[in-house]
Amino acid sequence: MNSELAKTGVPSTHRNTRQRIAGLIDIPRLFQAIDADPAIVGAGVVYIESDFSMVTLREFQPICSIAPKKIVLREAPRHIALAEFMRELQTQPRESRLVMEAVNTALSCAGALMGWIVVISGTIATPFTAGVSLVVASVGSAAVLASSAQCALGVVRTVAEASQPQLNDWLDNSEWYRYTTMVLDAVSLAGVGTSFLTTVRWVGVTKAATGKGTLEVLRGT
Amino acid sequence: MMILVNVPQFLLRHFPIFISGLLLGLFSVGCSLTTAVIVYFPGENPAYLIFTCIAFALIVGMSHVMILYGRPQWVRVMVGVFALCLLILLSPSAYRHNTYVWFLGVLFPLLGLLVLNSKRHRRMRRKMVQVRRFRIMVRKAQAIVREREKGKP
Repeated sequence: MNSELAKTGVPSTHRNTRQRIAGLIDIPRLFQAIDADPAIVGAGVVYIESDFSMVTLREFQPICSIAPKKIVLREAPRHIALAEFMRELQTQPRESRLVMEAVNTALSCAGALMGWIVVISGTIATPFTAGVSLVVASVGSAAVLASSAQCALGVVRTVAEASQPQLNDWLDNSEWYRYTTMVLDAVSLAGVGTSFLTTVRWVGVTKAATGKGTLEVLRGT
Repeated sequence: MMILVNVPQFLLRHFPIFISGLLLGLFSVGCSLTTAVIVYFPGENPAYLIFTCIAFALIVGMSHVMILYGRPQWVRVMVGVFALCLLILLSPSAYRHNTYVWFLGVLFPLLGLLVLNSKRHRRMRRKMVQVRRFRIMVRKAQAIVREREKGKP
């Protein structure tokens, strides 16, 4: 331990953990048993201890197939009986991500809220030329429609997480869903860009008309 | 930029009711459509759910934009959306599937209809019609000024 500290300056907990696990289980025999089954040959192996620290024993090696496989070995936590833990693993293989989905939904709806404030201010204050305002209004409207759609999709994901979580897994693995969310993000950001450019132009015009400095114009004094 | 109405005061008074109507619309669409698809169409491709949800969210957003631009007739579209979201959940199988989600799915459309019916929301719709008429007058005045400037040598 001291010689290792002298060599690196930092104690290598990862190497110690792997050495500890090598003492607990026969790693070469484990790899042999895994490679003997043609369905999982070459699979990566990850070991999760009872205190949820994770050690990667080996990476996936594409020996027979190129589809990556990973075997996760879990040590039963100390507070739970072994049979109970096995039953838990079999019946609830997926951790619930309800809180994470709810937080993401809250964030997208807050983004939609900001966009709507901009749209409302836009209906009340008209710029100088009708042509400009039409373009700005349509881009701004498209952006808030996109962010409202994102908010609704967030609610769909949250409800799906509560009722049928496999739906969310299916959505995360679909390419078309990723493209759809990318398109919605792009349209929402386009609205942000347009309102920024409009603000810049408005500040310039007000400065030229009134002779005030930028900060004064932005503050409204 | 011509400011037609005192912006901060207007926002403080009317924005909360407007945005709660909108958010309740989006939440009820998300909740009802998801539960309906899970309960009534269990084996279908989820793509239908996603695109239907996006379509309804666009309808909700569009009707609120139209209300903002001074056309209060579009509130009938919102009433229709809320009524649809409420009706598709009124079945025993939806109730049994997940009771908490069912309660939320029934609560959101009812609250949304309440918000649309409130005095403040009606006042906001009337105010937006006034703003629209004012905006038309300002545009006409700007057009006249531009014509005059073009006519000058």
